[in-house]
Formats: sequence, C-alpha cells, structure tokens
Amino acid sequence: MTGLPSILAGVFAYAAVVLTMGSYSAWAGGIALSLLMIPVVMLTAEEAIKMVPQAMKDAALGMGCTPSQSMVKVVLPVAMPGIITGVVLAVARAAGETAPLLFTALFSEYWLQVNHPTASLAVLIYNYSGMPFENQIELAWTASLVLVLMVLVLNIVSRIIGRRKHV
Amino acid sequence: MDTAPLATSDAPIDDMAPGDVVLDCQADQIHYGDFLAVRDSHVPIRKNQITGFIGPSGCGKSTVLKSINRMNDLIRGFRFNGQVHFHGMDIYDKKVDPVSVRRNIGMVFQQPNPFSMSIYENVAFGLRLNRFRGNIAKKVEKALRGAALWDEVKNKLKNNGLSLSGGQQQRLCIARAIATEPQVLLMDEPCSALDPIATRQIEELMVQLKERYTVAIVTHNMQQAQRVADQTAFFAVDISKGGRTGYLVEMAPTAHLFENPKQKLTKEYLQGEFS
Repeated sequence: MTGLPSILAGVFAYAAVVLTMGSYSAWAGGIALSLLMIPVVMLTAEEAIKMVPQAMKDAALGMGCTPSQSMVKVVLPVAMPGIITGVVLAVARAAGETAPLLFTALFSEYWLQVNHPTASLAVLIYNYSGMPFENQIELAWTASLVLVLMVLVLNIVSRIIGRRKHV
Repeated sequence: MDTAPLATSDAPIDDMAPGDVVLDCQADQIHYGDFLAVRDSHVPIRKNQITGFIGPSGCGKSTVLKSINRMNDLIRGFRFNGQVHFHGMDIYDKKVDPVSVRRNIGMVFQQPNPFSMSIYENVAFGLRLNRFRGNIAKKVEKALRGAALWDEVKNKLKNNGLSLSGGQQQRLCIARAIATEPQVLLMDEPCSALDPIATRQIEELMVQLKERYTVAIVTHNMQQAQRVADQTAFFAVDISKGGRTGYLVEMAPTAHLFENPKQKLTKEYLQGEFS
C-alpha cells in the first residue's frame, strides 16, 4: 500500500465521496489524504509495537492482564512515542500532496468550508505557479516556503517525540 | 473476566497449616505441538515452604513451573495433560479462566521486567488491575518493604522502574507480584541475570517471603536450591525415545535429596558428573 500512486487515492475519493455527495469538498480531500497516510502510520505503529520487549508483555500477562488489557495498559504506552512519530511524519507527507486534492478538495479563493471546495497550500502552489502574473508567481514561491517550513517543523516535532522513550 | 471462583477471600487455603499441599501439580504430559516436553512429573507445592526445581538445561523445569499459572497457554501448540489442583479445583478445568489463575498465582521472571512506568505505578499495577478500592499508597509501601526495596526507593517513587539497577528491578518485580498478595509465588530463575550481591539479597528475601507466601523457584544453581529450598524436585532429560523429554526423577526435602538421594541419576547430577 505504501507504493500506491497518490493520484489513485484522489480518484478513489472522487468516486466514493465527491460523486455521492455531489460536490467537491474538504471531506473528500481529507479522505484521499488519509488513505495515503494509513500505510505509513500502520507500518510505523507495527514497528513500534514490535519494539516493546516480549519480557514486558509476559510481565503483563503474568500479572493477570487479558491480552487487550496488556495492549492498552502496557504495550501502547511504551509504543506511543513511535506511533505518534509515524502519524506526524504521515501528516507531513500528506501536507505536500497535490494530485489527490485535484479531484477532491479542488480549490477555492475563499475561506475554508468543509462541505465545499477548499484551498490547500499544495494546490495553491500548483495553480498560482502557472499564472501569467508576477504577483501570483511570487505568492506561489512564498507558499512553497511556508509548506517546506511546516514539513520541517513536523519532522522536528516527530524527532523530539520519538526520542522520549524508556525502552 | 473475573468469573472463576478462585478469588474468594475466605477460601479454605487460609485454614491450611504450613507444610500442607496447597497446590498439587500433576503433569502427565506436556506437549509443544508434537514434541513431548515433559512427562510424568508430580510436584506438590507445600504452604509456606520454598519448593526448588533443579535439573540440567532443557529438562522441562521451567515448563512445569509456567504450567502452574498457565503462562504456557500463550505458546502455540502447548497442551497440558494432567491436573493442577489448587483450592480444590483443577486450574486446567474448562470453566477456569487462565487470567484469574494468573491473578492468584504470581510470577517473577528470569529477566527483570518492570513496566516502563514509575516505581509506584509498577507496584500499584496489580492493585489497579483488580480494582482494589482501599489505600493503594499503603499497599505499595507494604509490598516494597516486603521486597526489601522500600529504603532504597522511598524518595524516588516517581522515577521510572527501568532506571533501577538489575537487582533492584528484580526486587521491584517481586514487589509488584506480592502487592496483590497471591497465594503462590512462582519464580523462574530469578537470579540468573543478577550479580552475586543482588543474588544474595534476593535469596534472603525469598526466605522472608515464605513466612507469608508459598514459593516455587526454578534454579540453575544447585547451591541456591540448597540454600533456600525446603523441598527440592530434581528433573532430568530422557533421550531414550528420540526426543528430549523432561521428567521428575526425585523429589524430597532438600537436605534428604542432597545428602541421601535415592536415585542414581540424582546422585550423579549432584556430584557434578553431568549438567
């Protein structure tokens, strides 16, 4: 699933959400992006859960935890920094996606509305960079910088969260 | 979850005198898949005594111990033929929930394995799991004192349990196990990952623990069994049928077993002729 072309996620969300709801919307864009995020989040979460030592899981069972209690009380708290790291990285990746939004959230010159076409930085860059006016091209460059900085900040945050573990 | 009747507080076990059999483990056959790991091992565990399990590697002593609180259920292919009598019932009975067995029979593992949470929360874990409604702080202190760890950690109860030394971690695990006051405490080579000083502390602790609990311990170390155990069970490996099947050779009060073993095999093992 990690290799899924992002444009296909957009096409899927177009068929599943835009056609059924009858309009482009932020919802559809969100669903398309979350489809792209799921494999990344799943892989990192699986790794983080596998990293929890078997000895600790044995201890939980030995104390009389049911398997689900062991998961909730012992395994997840230990794995949480790793899981959150994965989520933050996936958000950072999704923030830069353009293709899936072209069929779903589309674009709007106005303020955010979840049930209507909505602007996103990535699509804004795409649209404005093709415009003939110097102004809009400069805006596209600025938006690129903002996007890069956001992704950088998210990456730094994920590093900080990932470092806090005691295993 | 709390369905099995094991947890009753007025259980007849409290009326038993020290030395009575509280838990009678009759392991006729223990399989992992097609592999017969243990056969014909009958180990009675006596109240307020330490029962030591000794024997060469792969003789099934840990397998028998872990069968007592059904820790092996999680291993794929595990099958237990036999009975473990506890509180007048068989803990392998279909009606018995393994989770409640484990809440009544505590376990300390080979590797110290505290949870990645504060020292206090480690000890309070079992109490919270059992929805204990009384004064948790008092119980935690009592368990930590019981595990001879209180003085070392009383000023840093909020620190992570994993920040302690190996020996302290193992005592923390003992405190965690005794916080819920289990009737039987199983220890699977609790000192094998520890240095000699920490080992001595744990051994002294075990002798104190038997005043209030019933302890069964697997050990690699014959001297350790000699120092702490009241009863000792000697297991060996039978390779006659192709596999490596462990079985109980002899069980007796420790002094008898070491000074006057009835079986030739026991004698050879104790004299260090094989290990």
